Amino acid sequence: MEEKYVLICSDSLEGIFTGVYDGWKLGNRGMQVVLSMGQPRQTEFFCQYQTVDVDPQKAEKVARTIRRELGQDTYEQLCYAACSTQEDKGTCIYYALREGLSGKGNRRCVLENLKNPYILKISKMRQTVWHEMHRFLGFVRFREIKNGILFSEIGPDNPILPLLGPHFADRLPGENWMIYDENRRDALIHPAGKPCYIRRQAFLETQRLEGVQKDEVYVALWKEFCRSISVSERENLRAQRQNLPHKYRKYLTEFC
Amino acid sequence: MLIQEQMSLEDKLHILSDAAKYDVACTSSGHERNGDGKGIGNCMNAGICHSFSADGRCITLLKVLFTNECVFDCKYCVNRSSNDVARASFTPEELCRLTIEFYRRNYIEGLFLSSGVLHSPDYTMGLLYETVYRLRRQYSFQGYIHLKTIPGASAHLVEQAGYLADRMSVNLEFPTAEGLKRLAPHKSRKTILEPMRRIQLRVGENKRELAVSPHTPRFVPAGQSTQMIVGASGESDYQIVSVAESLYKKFSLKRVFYSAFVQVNPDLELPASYQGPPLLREHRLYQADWLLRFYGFAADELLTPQRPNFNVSLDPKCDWAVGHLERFPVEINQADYYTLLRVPGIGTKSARKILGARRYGNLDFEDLKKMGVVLKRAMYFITCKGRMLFSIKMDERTITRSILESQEKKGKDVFRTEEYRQMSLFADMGLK
Repeated sequence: MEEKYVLICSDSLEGIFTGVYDGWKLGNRGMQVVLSMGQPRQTEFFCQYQTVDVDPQKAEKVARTIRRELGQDTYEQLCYAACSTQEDKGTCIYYALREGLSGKGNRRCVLENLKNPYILKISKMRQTVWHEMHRFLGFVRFREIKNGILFSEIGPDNPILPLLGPHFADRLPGENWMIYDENRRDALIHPAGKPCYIRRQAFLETQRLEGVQKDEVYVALWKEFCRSISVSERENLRAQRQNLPHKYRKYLTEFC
Repeated sequence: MLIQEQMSLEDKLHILSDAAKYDVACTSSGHERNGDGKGIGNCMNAGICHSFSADGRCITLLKVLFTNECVFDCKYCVNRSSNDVARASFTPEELCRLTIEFYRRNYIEGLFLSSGVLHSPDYTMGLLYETVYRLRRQYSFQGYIHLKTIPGASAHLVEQAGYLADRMSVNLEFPTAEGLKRLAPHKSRKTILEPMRRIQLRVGENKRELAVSPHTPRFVPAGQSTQMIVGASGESDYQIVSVAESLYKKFSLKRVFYSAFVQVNPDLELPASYQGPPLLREHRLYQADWLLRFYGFAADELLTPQRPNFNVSLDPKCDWAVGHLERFPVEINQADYYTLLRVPGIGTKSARKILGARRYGNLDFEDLKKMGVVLKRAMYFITCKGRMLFSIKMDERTITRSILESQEKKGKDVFRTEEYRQMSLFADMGLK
């Protein structure tokens, strides 16, 4: 029976890639490898546990190999999958890479091999994360608080803040803005004219977040616009609910 | 009605967005542009929906008219000159501020600017140009701008505006010239198609210039679109689809939009609509539109002058497939892309997935299901490794009935007609 190793990695792209690096040697010796994000809930018999500390150098080596051998596109897709909340994402990425680097067929399209259950799962995870990110590109609502700072709160299912960063930094380069992920208490902060960064475990002082008067004018105008743009003869609340589920509405100005 | 001198911005926005809502186009896709690092805004190729209104349609752009004052008297339009409605106009400055303030709060993806005809087409086009110019140059706005061409405006005005907008459009309104003449007496085929052609030619030239010198300003980079009203002038689906096809082929349009006729003015020339706008018909037209643009279908394959309207209970692709059973079943592991696309239940995405995955081994029904193929519809038309999912009589009536039943189970088909086929006493009862 092949031995089973459970590698406990930190839940991040670097953590997963470090785990892949360490797991590779074990895999070469014919062992079954599982990458677990954080401590597993249940421990198993006949199975070795090993904690993997994040090692940026190892992670970078893995990332470089992926980009060189499997292409930039594959690398980006794996990055999306790594943002997923699925517990077996690390294991899926590990086995997808083993499949891809084992050299059957065109390596650059390895993620098209949907007959492979791990790759199929990665494709699903990527889709879920990308879809949610894309939704939030539209659903982020800024409100202007003191000193002209634009502030927004969101509650996404997946940790998509790093994926939103480049888009909004390119879109609003001259503004001080901040997006707060209340499910993870992370804040994406963009000082005007500078690159944005993420502050983990950010604590918000609510009284400093109060809106300015000018903001209320535009909130009212926006609500008016959303009301009057709808054609009443075509009213279709079912389609509206399908496109814009209720869980998103509490962050949207026009529904508050 | 009297035009008030001092109208609040909120009132103006109410009037001018309410008047713009019958324009369907609200897309921000088709052009990718990064910000310049100094101004505000960028464009994303995929387009972004920011909200959804109560009619279920997406809100992407600040869709407004510059003014709803109009010298034209189109029968179907709420802003026609003979209607007594509240009139308002923005100033270019007001509109710019509104766009920028909405944009920086991430309410919108850009501006959709149309207008009633104030004084003359040229005067109105000048106002639109001034607004867009100010937005681009003074506010350094790099978000999406969709600008309407005013029918009858001079060529040089339209061309200048084209360098500032991402997409331009002029509405065809009706598929037949006769319908247009009857219902929009101030517009003509000529004033609509001429600017469309000019923009098309200029976009072509611009592409060649760009190939030589990449820093040439871009002209209407997201292309042109247009819109047709469905169900106001007694036209058939076949006419609409044929016109759409020739617009795509001959005018290189990016999109044709269809707008189910909503009656806003009671008028003798217009059909009375007791059942509300013909939404199902509009839906079928959009389905056919996708078949034209992405699936390699021709208008003549879908409809003919003898059968000029779409099937109410089956979508156009299914309808085509059950009528062409001699081309089925197709083998999933061998058929080429365009053959796969003809199978109901397989779209562009799943067709591409199938092509990618079958390089690594033969696919089975189980694999297809996981990839997102709608087997419920596809199973009648495909084989995997030479086998069908289960044996079915390849017969138009049997397959149609099974598909309709599966739609009904899902509770999806609310429009189902009682009987798909007219019963014939002689054939069905065996009478001679």
